[in-house]
Amino acid sequence: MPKFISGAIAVITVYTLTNIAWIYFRSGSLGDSSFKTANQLLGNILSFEDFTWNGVFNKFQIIKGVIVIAILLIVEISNPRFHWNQTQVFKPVLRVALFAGLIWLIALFGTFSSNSFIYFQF
Amino acid sequence: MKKAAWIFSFLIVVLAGDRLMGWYFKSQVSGSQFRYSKLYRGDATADIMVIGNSRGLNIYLPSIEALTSKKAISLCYNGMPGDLASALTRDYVDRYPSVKTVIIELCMVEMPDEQLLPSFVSYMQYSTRIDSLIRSKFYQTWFTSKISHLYQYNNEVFQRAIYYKNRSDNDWTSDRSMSEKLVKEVGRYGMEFHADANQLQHIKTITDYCRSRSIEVKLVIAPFFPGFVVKNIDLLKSKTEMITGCKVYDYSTVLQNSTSFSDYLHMNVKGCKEFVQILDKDGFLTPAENTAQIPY
Repeated sequence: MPKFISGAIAVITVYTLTNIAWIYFRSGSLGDSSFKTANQLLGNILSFEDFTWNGVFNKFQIIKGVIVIAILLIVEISNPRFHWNQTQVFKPVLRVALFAGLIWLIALFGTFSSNSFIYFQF
Repeated sequence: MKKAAWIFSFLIVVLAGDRLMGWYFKSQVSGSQFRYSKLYRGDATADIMVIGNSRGLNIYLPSIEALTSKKAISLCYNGMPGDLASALTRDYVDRYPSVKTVIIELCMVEMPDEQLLPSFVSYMQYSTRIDSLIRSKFYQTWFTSKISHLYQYNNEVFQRAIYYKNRSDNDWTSDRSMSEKLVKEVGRYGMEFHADANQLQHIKTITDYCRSRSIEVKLVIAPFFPGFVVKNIDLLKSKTEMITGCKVYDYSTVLQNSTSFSDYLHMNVKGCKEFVQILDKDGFLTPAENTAQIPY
């Protein structure tokens, strides 16, 4: 099997299992009915009922999430070529630009509400 | 010395970029077709204005305009709290005194999202009312948005303004039907109204403000899904009528077809059209001949 396919399968598997684990983890706060609720949620997800873009309630949160994850991926993918961490040490102008860019991104996409469930911010 | 110069340069770059991008986003927001952009741009003249939460969005503007030949605008938003609704309505009435009728979907009293207010920071610069509301309730947000102009655009309302940059938001209503499973399960769900005095006071502020300017105010409860139990709806009606002196038009059970709904609380486009037709048939959308005769 080509390496990129096995790598993709590994990523998808870990991602899916982590998401499933989070459902059980989060439902822990619901007391005695925790497992029942988590199972019901999983059942609803797997039924693919109303699985449409129209059925998504927080579309804008999702768009924001996609943009932020895309930025992280761009940095990750371009890092082997540009070595951002080392390069910025020797190029102060680049450092200023990168740090300023980070601050602008935080101002525009940061989550500041203190009552958000902490794991939703990752 | 050199280090200080770099730090100073960094701060200048951060501030300049923040202001430049803030200015760009401001121009995008003010030029948008989104309802609040139109309101503060001076482009929202209408005969009928609707205010409410997501259920208020069900008072479908295209049908109103088609049936009555009157221009209508909605200032509704998901989870609209009373204080924000009051500020927006008064801003609207001040800027567009020729409006004939203000329709309030009353269920916003029961489902206010208090966290919505900071999202209106993008429109704070256009409204002293919104500015002072955010300042009094979310000081940190208000203060941060004064320092960083970019931060003013870190919210869903701004994203919607961009989404509606070049398209109308008049038909902002879900167009899907409920699954058979959800239709069958309706007996398991329901809600209870509490007629919160604080929220009702905001409704009174709106009604008083409009009527002092001879603008007709109509309070309405839009349809719920048939079989969806809403407890204390009469409590909400009686308390509202007592506090505001306005009649509440209860249409909560007027639609009995499950295909007219997208969920238990909201109609789909089909339902919205049916609902507005009923309103029109009942004369609800026809302004009173003489607003001075509207009983207090």
